[in-house]
Amino acid sequence: MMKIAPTLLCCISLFCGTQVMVAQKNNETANDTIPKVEKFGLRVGVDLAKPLRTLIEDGYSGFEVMGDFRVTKKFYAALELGNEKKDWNEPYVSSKTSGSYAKIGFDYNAYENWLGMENAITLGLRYGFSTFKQELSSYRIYTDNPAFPTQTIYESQEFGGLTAHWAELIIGIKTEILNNLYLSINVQLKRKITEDEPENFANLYIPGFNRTYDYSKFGVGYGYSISYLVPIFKKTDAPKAEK
Amino acid sequence: MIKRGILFIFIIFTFKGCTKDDICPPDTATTAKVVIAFSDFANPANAKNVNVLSVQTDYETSVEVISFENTKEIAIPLSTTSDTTKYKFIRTTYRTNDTLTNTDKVMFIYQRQDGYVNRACGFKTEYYNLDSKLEPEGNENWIKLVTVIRETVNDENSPHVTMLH
Repeated sequence: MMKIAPTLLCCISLFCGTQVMVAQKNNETANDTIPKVEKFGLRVGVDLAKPLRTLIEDGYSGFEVMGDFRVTKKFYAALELGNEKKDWNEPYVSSKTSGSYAKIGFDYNAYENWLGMENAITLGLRYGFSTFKQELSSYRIYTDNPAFPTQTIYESQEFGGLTAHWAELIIGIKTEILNNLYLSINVQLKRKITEDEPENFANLYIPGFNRTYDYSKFGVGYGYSISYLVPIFKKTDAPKAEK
Repeated sequence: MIKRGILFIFIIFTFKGCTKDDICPPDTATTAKVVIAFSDFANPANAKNVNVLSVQTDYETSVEVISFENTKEIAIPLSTTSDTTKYKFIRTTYRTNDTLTNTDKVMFIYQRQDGYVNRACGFKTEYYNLDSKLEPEGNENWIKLVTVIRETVNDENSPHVTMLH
């Protein structure tokens, strides 16, 4: 019960705070004559989660670089490029996947910034494409009878030149932590469109798509990245005369 | 209260994790067993029960797969690691004052191929060119004739082998 008091206080202060801010914003739009400056440029960044996973997670290595370019006030053209290597172990099959991927699409900023701020809550769509190879490192024959216990069969088979295509919905939050430096976090919902199935096996993992499911075409992912905006030009968003 | 909430979320995620992808569903078509039908030697079109049948693997450590059943059709597994499987078919006849056991040895010979099932079940074995060998014991055999009807063991829908007795 002791812990609830500060939480409650925090909520109340947040609520009150927003009220004041909203009030401020209304004032601004009504009376402000200072033109809003919008920065346009190329934002480049790297994913922080993937190198971290490379360090702490066994059987994983990967990196991702990204870039976006502001096309209009609300829309950004976005691109992500990455490479991943992942060992996937199931009780009856073990595989190793490695390959590169590209995701191309756009972000829509659904967040109305206050004067001079450049934060974003983005909704985006991507087309994802991956080329990879998969190695079936070992497998077992499924059995439920005790007469012939199964042995693990270590006959490594490699399936190269595989591709996969998917569509992705990406929701993220970007915060400007220093001038032109952004920290962002996002979640991704993916749906497989097509994939090359290896003969007599399946893709347990697809770089960029993450693990697959046998009974569903969907996949999930997340990203945590730091990016820098290279400002190219500024546009003053002249406040439209109030009607 | 917060602790309880965290625990609740934890429980949800634990069970959410158990999808069809993690456990091999029992109804999945994995390695098929060989289905054996028993028929009357005098009249091969008629099914005839074996009274009473036990089936054991014929190796140093034998495992019983059928235990004292009065049956006319059985399904027994084939080895997934060897191209032959040896079985002992034991018929036990109960008389009023004694019990007779008659053991016949049958070896199944085949070719194997492993096929992918799914991520939870791994692989299954498919058997091709199934053949059978009954070890002759002169007049002592209770199984008179073993015939392979279907040479590919990939399902258990109908008998692969008939045994006349």
